[in-house]
Amino acid sequence: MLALTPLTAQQKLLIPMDAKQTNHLKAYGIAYWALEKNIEVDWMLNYRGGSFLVNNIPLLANECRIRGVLYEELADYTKILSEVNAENSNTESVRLEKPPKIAVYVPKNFKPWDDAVTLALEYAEIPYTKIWDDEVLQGKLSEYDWLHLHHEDFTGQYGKFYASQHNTQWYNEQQLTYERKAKELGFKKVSEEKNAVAQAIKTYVANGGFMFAMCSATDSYDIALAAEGIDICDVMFDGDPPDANAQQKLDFTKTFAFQNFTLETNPFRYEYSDIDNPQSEPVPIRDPSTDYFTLFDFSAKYDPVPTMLIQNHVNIVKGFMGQTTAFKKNLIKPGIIILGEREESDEVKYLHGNYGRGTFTFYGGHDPEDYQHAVGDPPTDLNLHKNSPGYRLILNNILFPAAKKKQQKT
Amino acid sequence: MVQKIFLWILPIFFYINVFSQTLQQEIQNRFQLAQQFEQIRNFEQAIQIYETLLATDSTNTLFIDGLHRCYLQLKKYPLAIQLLQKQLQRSPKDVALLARLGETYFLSGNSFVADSLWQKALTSSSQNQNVYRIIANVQYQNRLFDKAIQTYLQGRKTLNNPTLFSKELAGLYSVMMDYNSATQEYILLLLQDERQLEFIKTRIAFYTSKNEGLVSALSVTEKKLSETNNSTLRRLLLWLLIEGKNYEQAFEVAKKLEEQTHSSGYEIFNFAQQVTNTVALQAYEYLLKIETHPSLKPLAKFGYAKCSEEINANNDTSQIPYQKIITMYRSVAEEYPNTEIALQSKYRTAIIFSQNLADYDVALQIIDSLLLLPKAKQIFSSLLSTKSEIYLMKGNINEAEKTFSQLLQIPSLGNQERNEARLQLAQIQYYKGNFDSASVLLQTLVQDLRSDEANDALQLQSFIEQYKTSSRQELQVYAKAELCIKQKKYTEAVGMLDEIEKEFPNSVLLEFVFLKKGEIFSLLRQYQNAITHYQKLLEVYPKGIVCEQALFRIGKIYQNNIKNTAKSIEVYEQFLSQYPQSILTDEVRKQVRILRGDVL
Repeated sequence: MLALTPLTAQQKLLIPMDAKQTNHLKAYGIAYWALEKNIEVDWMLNYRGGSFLVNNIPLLANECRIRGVLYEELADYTKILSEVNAENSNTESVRLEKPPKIAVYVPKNFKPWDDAVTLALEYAEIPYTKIWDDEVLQGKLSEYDWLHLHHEDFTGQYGKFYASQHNTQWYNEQQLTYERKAKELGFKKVSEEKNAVAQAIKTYVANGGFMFAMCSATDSYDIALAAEGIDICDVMFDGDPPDANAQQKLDFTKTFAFQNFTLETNPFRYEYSDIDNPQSEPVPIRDPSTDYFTLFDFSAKYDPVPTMLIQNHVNIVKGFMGQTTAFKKNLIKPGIIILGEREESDEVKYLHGNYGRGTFTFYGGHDPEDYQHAVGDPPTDLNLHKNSPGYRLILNNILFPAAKKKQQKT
Repeated sequence: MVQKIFLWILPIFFYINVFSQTLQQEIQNRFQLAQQFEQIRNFEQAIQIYETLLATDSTNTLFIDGLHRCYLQLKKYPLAIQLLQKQLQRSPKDVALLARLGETYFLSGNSFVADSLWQKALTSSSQNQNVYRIIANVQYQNRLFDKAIQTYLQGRKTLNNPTLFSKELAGLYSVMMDYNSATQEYILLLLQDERQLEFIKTRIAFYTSKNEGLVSALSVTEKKLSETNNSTLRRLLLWLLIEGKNYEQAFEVAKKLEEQTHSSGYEIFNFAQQVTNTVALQAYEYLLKIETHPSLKPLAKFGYAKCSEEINANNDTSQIPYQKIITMYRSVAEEYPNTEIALQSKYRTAIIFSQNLADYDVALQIIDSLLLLPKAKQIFSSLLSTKSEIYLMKGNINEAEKTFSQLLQIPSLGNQERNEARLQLAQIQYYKGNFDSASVLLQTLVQDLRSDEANDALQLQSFIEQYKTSSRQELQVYAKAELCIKQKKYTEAVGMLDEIEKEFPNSVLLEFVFLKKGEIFSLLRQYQNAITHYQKLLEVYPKGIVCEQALFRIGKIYQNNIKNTAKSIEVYEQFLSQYPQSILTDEVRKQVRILRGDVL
């Protein structure tokens, strides 16, 4: 108890998030840890890369040292606070209230690839719960503040891995497991069950949930919403051919972020639609050393939410591929906030939007520190990427639901 | 008259032939067009053409297949069913047609009729194995794995052949993740033809990588073995146990297999080569007790001795007396003179004498005798390298230097061995106090940053360069103390370090002296004494360049030797507070987390 008492009310620790920080990713974990222990955390938007201001408690400083997170002791923090809150400065302090309860949507069986968010959460030591179709359909999503989706396929086409993987053990086991699960939950087809899951997630967001999706979970999710009640799966996926008029029947009013896209009906092609940019097949030839995307600038005082989502110590971030690498700009619905894009191209990497009382964020690509993460590749060791700007964007999303809602300035 | 008729008929035949050819060509063109429409997924157009084509030839299977495919694509199941039923009227016993009709009913959602049609096909030719394969295959294609299994089992029962379709059933059970049944079927297959063992191992390996798969395979195999006592089945069990790294139990199985097959020891020898040293040692020991093929005896003795050596090397205390190991090697060398294994055995005894028994003279005698043997040509460089090290350990530093130099003269010497020899030579120059010569030799190694020795070379070079001018005299003593540590003459080393403390009270080397003393007392397991020296270093030189190492080592001693977790965490936290930029910081953080029991 003694350790939790601040030395004096005026003493605070600043966890800088600019280039000086030794471990950006674990710094988010420290902020979460502090929230769990009811220690006040202020997120200083646009101030030194989105720093955290925390009460100076010996226990916290010790924890920072153990986790390798750089901190600065401030004798008088009010100066910084007034600087950040000054009207003429594009900075703002946001009080983080409580640690968000996090759910990650992942199957219970093994998948031969890794999930960047799970990696980030585990590295940052932020607790989370794994949930799958049963829990989603039983309405358990309402128990969580934040839901993460990664390399999932909500269309029921098993990730469209058929051409390259249908003879592998993992693929066959996955298909059988999914079929059994669908049957167990009362669905005839996996595609129908996955669509029900997508609808449940939509309801969760409408009711105020925060959803963050990466890689193929982004476009496959919206496709599933548009294809509600339409068979878009070929025979190898659900046993019968797709609806010949599936494309014409898509209802884009039902989606979150994309519209007017065209389905990829070739079951042998590793792609769901034309949303993905560049398309996964043929494998795009790009020079990783020149592939970057730029984060947009927002007003910290008037647009705190997008500002939180783009907090970083750089504003040009290394690109990375995935089954869904980025999104075609002309297929994005009006009203969606573009957070990051590849300059002088029609590729949007990172976007955010509202639906009902909740929000969703889509982030293209698979692993921010593995340019082309292939099936069977070993997981990325984040000890080697402690300051990864790409991973920071994921962790911004985790803390953003913790922010106390302020009255809008506009 | 006949001639006139012929003249009339000839053009008619000609025109009929031409017309027929044109018609055929027209049909062919239309068929190709239908296929093209199908390819571009314009099934409506394709259907129209197929239907007109079928009107011209209602028995053409290509047209029927094409039309059926298009009906299915557009989910026009009633039309697809009607089409096949028409065909069935012509050939009511066509099993393939019945199978397809059943499939069409299944796709339309009518599983009941599908099942009855498939059953009808099976009943109509119940004595024909292929009928079961055709129906099961259609069911498999539609992912009706349970039904496919039932079809094969029905066939097995009807044809009164309990081993029929084992391969197909094993595959299906495997897909269904029913590893018990899959293994049962693979065993049936194995018992039919024991030459299938390797094939079956590869199939079972698909699921033994998963724990539940391995457990199932093991329990089924064990049960079946208890009923049959079949040697091939026992070999399968042995393989499964080795796969599961259950070496102790595997050894028992290997012994039974040896008894059962009378393989003159080969079963046990093969087993010994696949398992860990501890179990291999037991296997070699067993092999030496039983009647074996003569060629296996020396291999078993050598294997036993080598395993013993490796077990000792991986333990703090010798578990097997070295004299026993030497006796074993010697008996191999005496019983099988002038062989490769005799040479290897003698070489190993030399290594034991030098590294474990500190009997350098005997070790040198053995090495010298081996160097004279023509057979030793293959291991000549290893022998020379060992000889040099023995000289160094013995304290005959000039001979060590000479031998390392001789080693470097060997043209075929590998890069790794060459770099090792160079580093040894540089260290010898350092021990001798020839710092400039040492630096020159180290420079060659430092330039090749890919070599394993580069790091050690860089460290020694920078140490020499830093102190060779300012503290030359005490550095010479310090280097000698390091040689003593290498030779395990710890008391002498401490004496030399004390001498530096006494003779050079203001030397900048003193912090290294304290650190080295702490290291020596740690090696002597005098942990409190070691901590005292490290703490002395921290007190006397609070800003010294090796302070962080001293503090880290104190933490390590509390953690690993004194086993005081709280004290260890306290020291490590002090370290993190004092040396946040140290290269040891990551390791310290990791150790704190381990000590706290954090899930990493």
